[in-house]
Amino acid sequence: MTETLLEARSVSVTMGSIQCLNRVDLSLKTGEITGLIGPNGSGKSSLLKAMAGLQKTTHGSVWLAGKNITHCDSRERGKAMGYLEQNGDVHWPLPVKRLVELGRIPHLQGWQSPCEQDQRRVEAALKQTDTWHLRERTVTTLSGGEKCRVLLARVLAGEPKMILADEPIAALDPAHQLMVMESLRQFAAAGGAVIIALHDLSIAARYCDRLALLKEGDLIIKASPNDVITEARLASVYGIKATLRRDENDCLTVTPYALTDEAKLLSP
Amino acid sequence: MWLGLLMGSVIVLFFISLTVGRHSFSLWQTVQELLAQEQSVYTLILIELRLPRSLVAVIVGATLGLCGAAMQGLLRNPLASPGILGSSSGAALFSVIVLYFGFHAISPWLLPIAGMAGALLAIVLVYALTGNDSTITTIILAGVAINAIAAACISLAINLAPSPYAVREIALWTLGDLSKVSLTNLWLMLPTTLIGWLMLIGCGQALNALSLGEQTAASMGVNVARLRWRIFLATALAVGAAVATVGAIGFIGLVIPHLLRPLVGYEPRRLLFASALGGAVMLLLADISVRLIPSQIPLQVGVLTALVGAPFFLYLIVKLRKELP
Ligand SMILES: Nc1ncnc2c1ncn2[C@@H]1O[C@H](COP(=O)(O)OP(=O)(O)OP(=O)(O)O)[C@@H](O)[C@H]1O
Ligand SMILES: [Mg+2]
Repeated sequence: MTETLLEARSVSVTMGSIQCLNRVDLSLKTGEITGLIGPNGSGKSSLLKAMAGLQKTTHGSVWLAGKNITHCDSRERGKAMGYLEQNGDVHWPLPVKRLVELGRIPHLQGWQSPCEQDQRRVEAALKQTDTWHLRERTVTTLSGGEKCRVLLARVLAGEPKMILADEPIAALDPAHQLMVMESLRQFAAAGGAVIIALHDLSIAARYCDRLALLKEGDLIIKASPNDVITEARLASVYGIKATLRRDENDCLTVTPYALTDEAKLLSP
Repeated sequence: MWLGLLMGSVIVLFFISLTVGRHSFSLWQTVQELLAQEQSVYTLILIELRLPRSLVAVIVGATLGLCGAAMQGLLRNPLASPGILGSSSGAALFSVIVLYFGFHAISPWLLPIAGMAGALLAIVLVYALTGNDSTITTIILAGVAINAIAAACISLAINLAPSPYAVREIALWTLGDLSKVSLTNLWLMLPTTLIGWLMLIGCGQALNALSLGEQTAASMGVNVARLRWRIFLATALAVGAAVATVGAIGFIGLVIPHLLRPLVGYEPRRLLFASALGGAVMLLLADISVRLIPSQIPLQVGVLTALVGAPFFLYLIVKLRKELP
């Protein structure tokens, strides 16, 4: 039985004079991976932040387990959600293992140190993201993709009920992209909910149960990948021409090959 | 392991500090006299001068180290220190005003109270200048501005001071001095210092989370705005009391967290306690040194920490420049 864990109700966000989001409704359900797609600046990160309770909404509200998220206990919120920042950074040259341990903070009291059980979660998270061999390294010496995976391990180590990930695979090689998506699928299969911002439309189509397409702050459509990704929509939202190929499992592969004529006119 | 070593050093240096001074006498014998409730010049020196001096050195050093570690963790900047928010110089300015007008003759309590008020005012001014959701950069800039204003006013006080004696008193005081502290000073500074310490020690977990950035820390349940003001207020209480008692002793809050960070695996939470111990070690060492260095006019302890700390600051900048691309 699926249950709604997190719900954005008619959420608008304005920053300065820019309306980043315009009355967006979206809910996260257990067992589901929701893909968030749209061009640069369409409001994907803003929506994730708003849903994580990190961004004030100018209209509407976000509901976590039947409670307005602004009234939720911040500790409970931290336990329930794992939020992965776009281009997240680490400010001290921490050893990788310590960094992943930070994911346990919502479960620890003031001066408590991570216990045996916490350590086991940390180890599992390191293995899931294929960063076990990096555990003794200093995070500042890692490659871009390695760091991304370690930061994802931090989220997994917190055992959240839902994961809100902002472009977690943008810097990864193809094998690790698939590996990360597989572990998110496992997470969802185990009863978690996932929302993930993506630019790789083929991966989005293959792994997401639903896609939400944003354009200039408007939620254009939320539906199954096959309904969302059509040639006409790719042309109107992204300004691209693409070949769509469906394999025997009805799974889409999207290969952009040219800008549309209108987009060409706009580009320098 | 390192914590044990630091703790051992604090204890050993504390006892050494009790034995060093113009009059040399056997610590052991004097303690025995004390236990036998006999009074002598030496028991008086020990109880009224050396003991408060050593205890205050431990407390002030720990305050500066702890506040430095907390500020660096909060601002995620290894060059930050309690001075950055202007709380040290705010406290110094208010204390100088009290000294300048001779208010401390009315009541000895006025000096520490002024120090804390100055530190608090500096914090409130920073708050007023930066507003509620301010970035770290604006906070640092506000601190720079407050420091500049306080420095200008202290210069004005020295400039307008009525007598050379007043000039000397104010100038020496701003250099930092442990030689005049008494048990009364100790009791006066203790309450706010302890409150400040307790407020800071509880911040460890949140500071750890902050090493992942403010957004991520917030997503993990840390109220970043509240944490920021908690640390500012705690620093004002503890540093205000310390500066009012012994003057502005610089660089401990900067140097110590930096030296100890690699030893605690760069973890902000573990750095708090380690830096408190390290700060106590550094100030005890400096205070013992100024008493051992032969000199006609006694050296001020703040001068020594600055002489050691400022070149270290330069070294840090050069090192950071090499590490960063
Ligand atoms: N702090 C800010 N102040 C002002 N405008 C902002 C701020 N952050 C984002 N915006 C604007 O809000 C809009 C949506 O930004 P958002 O980061 O949500 O886009 P995105 O879909 O995540 O883009 P990308 O694919 O590049 O990550 C953009 O027009 C952006 O310029
Ligand atoms: Mg984004």
